[in-house]
Amino acid sequence: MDQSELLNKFFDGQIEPNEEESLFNSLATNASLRKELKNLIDIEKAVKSDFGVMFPPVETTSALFSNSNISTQSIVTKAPFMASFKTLILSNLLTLIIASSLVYLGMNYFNNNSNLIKSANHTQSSIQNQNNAYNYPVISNLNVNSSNDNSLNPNKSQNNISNNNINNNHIKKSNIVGKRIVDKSNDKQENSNNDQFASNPINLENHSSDVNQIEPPSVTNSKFNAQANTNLLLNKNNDIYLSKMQSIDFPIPSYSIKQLGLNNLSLTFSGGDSWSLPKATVPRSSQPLFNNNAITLTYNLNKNFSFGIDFRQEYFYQKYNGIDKDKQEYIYEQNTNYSAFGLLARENILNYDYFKTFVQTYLGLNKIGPIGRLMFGLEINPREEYGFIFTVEGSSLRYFHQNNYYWSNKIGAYYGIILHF
Amino acid sequence: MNNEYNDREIIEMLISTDKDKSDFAFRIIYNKYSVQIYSYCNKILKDRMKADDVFQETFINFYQNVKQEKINNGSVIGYLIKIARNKCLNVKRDVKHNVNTEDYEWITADEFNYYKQDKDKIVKTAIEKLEIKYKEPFILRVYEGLEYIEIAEICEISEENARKRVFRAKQKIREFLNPFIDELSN
Repeated sequence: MDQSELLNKFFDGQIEPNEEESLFNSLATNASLRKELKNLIDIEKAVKSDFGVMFPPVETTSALFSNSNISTQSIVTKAPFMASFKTLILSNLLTLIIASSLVYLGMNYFNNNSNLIKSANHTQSSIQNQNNAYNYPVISNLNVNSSNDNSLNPNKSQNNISNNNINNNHIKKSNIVGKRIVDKSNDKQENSNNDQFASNPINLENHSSDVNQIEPPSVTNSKFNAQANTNLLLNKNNDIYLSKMQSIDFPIPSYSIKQLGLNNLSLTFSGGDSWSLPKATVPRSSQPLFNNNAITLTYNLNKNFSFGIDFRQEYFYQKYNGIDKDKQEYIYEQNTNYSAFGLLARENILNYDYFKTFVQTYLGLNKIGPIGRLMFGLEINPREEYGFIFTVEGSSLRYFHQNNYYWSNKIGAYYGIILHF
Repeated sequence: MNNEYNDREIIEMLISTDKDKSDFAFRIIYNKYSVQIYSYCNKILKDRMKADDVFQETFINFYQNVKQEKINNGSVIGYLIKIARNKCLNVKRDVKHNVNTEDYEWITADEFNYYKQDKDKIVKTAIEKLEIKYKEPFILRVYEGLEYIEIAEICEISEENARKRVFRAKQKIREFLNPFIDELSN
């Protein structure tokens, strides 16, 4: 066996170890053999680059199966109903369960927030009720006054005003309030009051009555006066503070469905199947988890009309012509799953409390072209919050390939659950 | 799903009296081997129309033969290629257009420039110019990936002879490609 044959065996991977040793020894010393090896490598590379597999054209395949009277359908034995539709039913049910659970949890969240608001309001009103007993909420750390039994006694309080520094605060308060009073009363009276704080309780009494003239009637309660005075150490402008407290609302955000304006929204989760027109002759390309499932959000503009958005995964069977780089014409067929997004308008035809029928138009898009649909549906609402929906629809997809437009048509049947907010 | 069945099981299903099962088996075979057979026919005949005809006839013939239980053992692909080969040879017998190896050296300057433009065409032309007795084992070996013993069975020659023919085919291709070797290397 000459060295060239050994090289060939080497490339075939069938060289014996001793032959390999001999070949490698020859390569080390023989320049022409090395050149031959390089040439062989180049040729192998070139031959491999020509390794283009050729697929039989669709028409050849169709003709072959037709001439042989062999069915092209992929199902051999008639599977039981559940086996045939198990994947479809399970995927649809799974989608419905997941979607319903998410919505339930979401709505529960909203309800809890509403309860929180109620609870918060309840707390607020409790506080207010509690404060109503005192007419106003009280914030006080004035232990001095609280330890002073006279604080709740207007008469005693008035007597105490002239006694010490703490009670000077009372005087200050009186002055502050008095300033406001001054706007409505006269300087003379205030001066008189100031002058006579220590000596003339009657003036103080008058002053206090002046305060009452500008405060809400409930403030006239002598208890309030005492408590209001206790706030002075916290805030010199406590009359303003009290005024604010009187009208303040707790800043609790409101998230309830109605407060968000979502009460006219409906959410539909549906699943089903579709059939191509004409019938698809190639199997579906894949089975994504949410195949043939749709989620639809609609806004009910009035009793009979609503509009919304729709997102779904669905198959379209496409059959179109094309020419390859060798100018060979082909008929292409594919049955591909696409995600589609679109806008819809729904008009109710029959509209009863628990039952309605509707017609729906749809305009949408997937990644290869626009889609139009016409749907007829039936909605049964056993409860105000939810219902069941059954629809039949016709869909058309328009797509483009090599300067030509094609249509892909299908009909579909869907069922689902509709949740009304 | 098709990989769940071996050739023996597919043949058993194919000869079944249950038409659904038989059709199913045929579809498996078609999906598994149609590309190989179609490529083979095209590479041997170099004519897509003729290759289409031979390809269809091959599968129909295979189906009929299996139904008549003319095939009981052996590989399905081997049997299919044998049918395809016989049909290709019949076609080539009608239109004899293979070129003698001596013609390889006769390449004009225009042809040379033309080949330089497309390296793939150089190789294709070289294979096309092979005599059928070399071309066939070469294609079965290089493109179909068959073992020499399978090639020997299909071509009805000895295994050693199959090996030699593949080797000889490579030598002839190399001879043809020698003027372009530098081009191919780039």
